[in-house]
Amino acid sequence: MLSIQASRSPNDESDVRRFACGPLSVEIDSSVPEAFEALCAALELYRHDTETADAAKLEVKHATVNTVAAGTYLTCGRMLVDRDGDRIFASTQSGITVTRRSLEATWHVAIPTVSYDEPTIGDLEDVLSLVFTEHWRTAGLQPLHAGCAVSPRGTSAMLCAASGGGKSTLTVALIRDGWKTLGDDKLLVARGSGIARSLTRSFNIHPRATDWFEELAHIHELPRYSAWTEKRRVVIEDVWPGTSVAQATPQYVVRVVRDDSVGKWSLRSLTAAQLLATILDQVVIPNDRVVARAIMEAVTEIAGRTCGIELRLGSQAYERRGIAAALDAALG
Amino acid sequence: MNTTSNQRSALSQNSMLRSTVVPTVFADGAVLLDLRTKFFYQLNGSAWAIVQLLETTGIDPSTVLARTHDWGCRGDAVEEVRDFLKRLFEFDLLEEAEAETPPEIAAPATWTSPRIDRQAEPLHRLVTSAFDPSIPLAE
Repeated sequence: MLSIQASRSPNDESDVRRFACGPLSVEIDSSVPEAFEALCAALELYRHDTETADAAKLEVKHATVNTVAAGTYLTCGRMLVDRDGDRIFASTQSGITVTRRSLEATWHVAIPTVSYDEPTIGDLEDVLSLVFTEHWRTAGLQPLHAGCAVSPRGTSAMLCAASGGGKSTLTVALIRDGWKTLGDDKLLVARGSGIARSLTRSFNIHPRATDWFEELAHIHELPRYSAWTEKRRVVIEDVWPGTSVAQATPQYVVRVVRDDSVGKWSLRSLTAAQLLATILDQVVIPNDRVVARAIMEAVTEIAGRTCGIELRLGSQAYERRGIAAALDAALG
Repeated sequence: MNTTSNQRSALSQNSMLRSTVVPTVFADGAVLLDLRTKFFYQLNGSAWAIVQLLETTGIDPSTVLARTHDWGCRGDAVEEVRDFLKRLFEFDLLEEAEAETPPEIAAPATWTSPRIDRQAEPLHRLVTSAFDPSIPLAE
């Protein structure tokens, strides 16, 4: 994580700190200390690239905006987003709003009087997600809600599943048997080259994973990932030193499916249509024709250069070792 | 949706691809994503060639049939093109439009029956965040 020390801005009313989130430089300029602290904590979890592809600035002020977005561009669980030309406006359930007036770098965040509980902090993280995805895409990088692992033979596979679908636990099982990882649920894939970049330094793991992985014995002591889940944030290098890699070019896409009927696990090839559907399930596509077209082109590029495999995980998948070797063999 | 009236429309009116439908080239054909419904559709090469005729211009079905004839669609295969147009209407992917001169579209390498497959489940309309397309967990 690259960041500079927090400093006071010239008018001495706000805190300023700069981060790098992947290839995006982000400056937080906040006159709301609690929001500044929460945003910095969220930004600390991102990796930084040596090259900066784009820059964003969040100007955070205490204000109440009595306008609620309709969600015409994007409808999230706690945030609605509208887009009119290049102007973006979003509002969250806790009353936080963010406005980008044009394709400028600055996003104006207005925060009403709120208690900084987990939902509010989650809303601030939603705002960051919106800012990041807009800038990453502008820089030619497609965000994917997927993990990526590199086998001991050097074969890279993107791991796809919905939240709670088993990406993190599978990644831990692979690491245990000598694989490396770019992370369990956040990737950026470069248009053209197909290179996937790691974005985060931590996994979100459910405490029940201690049943299979003794190195996670102290996971209960770690902070929860969010208000909505029991998952804990585990810094990869703290538990598995030397296992994280910054980038790789995936040759495979693995669709991970929980299926108690298979016992341990089963593997099969995906058709081109199934592969495309698997990748599409890992991207957010806003209701904007131009943006959607760019995302669809990025997704079809990935589908065109990868092979698809479905891995069905049974309830006994991790009771004994073997899944890493089986997946490695399936990757050819 | 009234299938009968749509099928009748398919054979009578000038139509073009809805402005909410985003086409992207994929494999030998293309993928269509309908932003209203979040359904996506896979097209083979012949289907994609027809859809390209309808992508930006309003065309009547007889013009489509004439063009596919030029591309090698003959005999019983003509009915397959009509069926394909009906399916585009059934999926509500077309809208009425003023008649225009059809664009020049490269003929498919080999003419095959035009095929459109709709993905069983649409993409989620409600997502967790701008990054995470999963359905939000209950609070």
